[in-house]
Amino acid sequence: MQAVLRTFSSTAPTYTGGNTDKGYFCAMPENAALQKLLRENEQLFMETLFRNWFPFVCKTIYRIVQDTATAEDLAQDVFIKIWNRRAELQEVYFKAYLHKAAINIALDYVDKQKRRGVHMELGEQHEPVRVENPGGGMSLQQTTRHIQQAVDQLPEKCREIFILSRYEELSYKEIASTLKISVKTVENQMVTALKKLRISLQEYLQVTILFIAGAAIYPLLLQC
Amino acid sequence: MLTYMSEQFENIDTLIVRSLENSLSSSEQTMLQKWLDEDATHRRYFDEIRRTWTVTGEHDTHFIPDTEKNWQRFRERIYTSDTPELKVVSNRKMYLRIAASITGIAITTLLYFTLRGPSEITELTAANEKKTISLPDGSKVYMNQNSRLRYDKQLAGAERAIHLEGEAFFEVANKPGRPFVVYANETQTQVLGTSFDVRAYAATPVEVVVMTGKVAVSHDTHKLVVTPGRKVIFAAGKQPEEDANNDVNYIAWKENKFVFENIQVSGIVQTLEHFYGVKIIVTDPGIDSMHPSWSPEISTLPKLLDQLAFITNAGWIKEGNTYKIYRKN
Repeated sequence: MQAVLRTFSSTAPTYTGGNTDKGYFCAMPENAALQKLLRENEQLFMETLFRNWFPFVCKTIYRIVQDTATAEDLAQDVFIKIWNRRAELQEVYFKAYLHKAAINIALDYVDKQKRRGVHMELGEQHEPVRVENPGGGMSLQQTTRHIQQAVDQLPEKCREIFILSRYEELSYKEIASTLKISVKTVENQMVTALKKLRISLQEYLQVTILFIAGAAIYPLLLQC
Repeated sequence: MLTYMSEQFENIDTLIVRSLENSLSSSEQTMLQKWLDEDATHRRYFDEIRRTWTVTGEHDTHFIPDTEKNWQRFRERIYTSDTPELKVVSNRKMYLRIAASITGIAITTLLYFTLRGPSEITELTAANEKKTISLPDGSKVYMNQNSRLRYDKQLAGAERAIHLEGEAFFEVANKPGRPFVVYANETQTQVLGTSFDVRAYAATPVEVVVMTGKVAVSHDTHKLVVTPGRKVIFAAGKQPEEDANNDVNYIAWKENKFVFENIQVSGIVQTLEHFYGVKIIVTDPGIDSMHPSWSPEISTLPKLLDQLAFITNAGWIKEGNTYKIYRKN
């Protein structure tokens, strides 16, 4: 039992690859092994699935709901549903299934909050994110925080669509069907998102461009 | 300036956005390339959008939940809210009534088989007899003494219907869309997925104790939600009473074991009195206030009293119908 668990833990969930890499094949040994476990020992199946995929599910939800405690609660619910439906999961490719479930539960939650009048948006106006010392002693964490702030400041639907495309790596078509809107709307919202982000992240873009242009002229510019 | 250019090429932004997910057609690809080659500012705008895409991608959230803590919480949740198990306990009066009519039932059962054929199964337990039944759907029923269970041989039909008189403990297999319904004394206790409903109430009080699973009990216009560790009592003409189930030994008969963990002797004695239907008096307050931990297998009362007396350094005697526990000198 222990060995089985450890084998699974070593294949930590990663979500790499571009948007084109969309094929969810059931031939992956990992999934076959999970299916085998589900047939033979459902408790161990549940534990293995949970330990391997909880962080992935939780993170996906967190990106959308922007609250760690809520994300953990909702992620728990995703796995509770899996447990309750374990009799019907013989054909399922778990990673894709969990990903879809995570996105849906998070979007539902945001919708319900909105109907209750709770505003998810952190800010309406779109000002450039302030950078204290561009290119200087900025830590990676600070940069990440600023960039995430910029994403959070997008209008709600726009933000959702951007997150689904950028971080959840859904195609525009998949986003359209998830949100029950047209592909055209998704594309328009992506344009809006990127244009707004291009403005609010201007300083990062410039700094980076300077680096690309060559480190030699960078000190000169700082003196200006 | 850039806005002006975007207007000129009305859908150029769409093309850029499509290029991010590589969904450009070859003609669109050519169109975009042509636009990029037209002007250095075009190229710069395009690069900035692409850079925005890259930068946001590189700075994903670092949030990592505590998987261990969440697993522990999850495990508790599935142990207390799934694999619905429920226990239907009729009150003591009913046992007596059933015990009294046990021979009658045997005859009725014969008639049953003759009239209805073998499509229906009836299980009976006599006094001091227990039985474990595996139902065709994988559910398990632990029958206590003096009880009767009736169900369709295949458990076919939209509803898995079980008729119970007496006492039984159910471990219900999860079959979505096929509710598991226990009919006991005109009450219905329904399990579907993680919950069940009791819709009727009986002339005789019926008690439903929930071990795991979330339960909604309906009675007229009232609706009670019963959660694990809670129970509900139905009495004719009264509203159902929902209360905490403080008796950890309510399924002692099924486990064939009592569990007393740091329980005061007076409490232990109460459980034994109830279980064996006798009166037990503890004559010494010193013994009465002891809190032993003791998990004996179910046995005859004298054997258990011997053990209890040994643990508490006491003695016991039977006087008429009363058992007395006294201090040994």
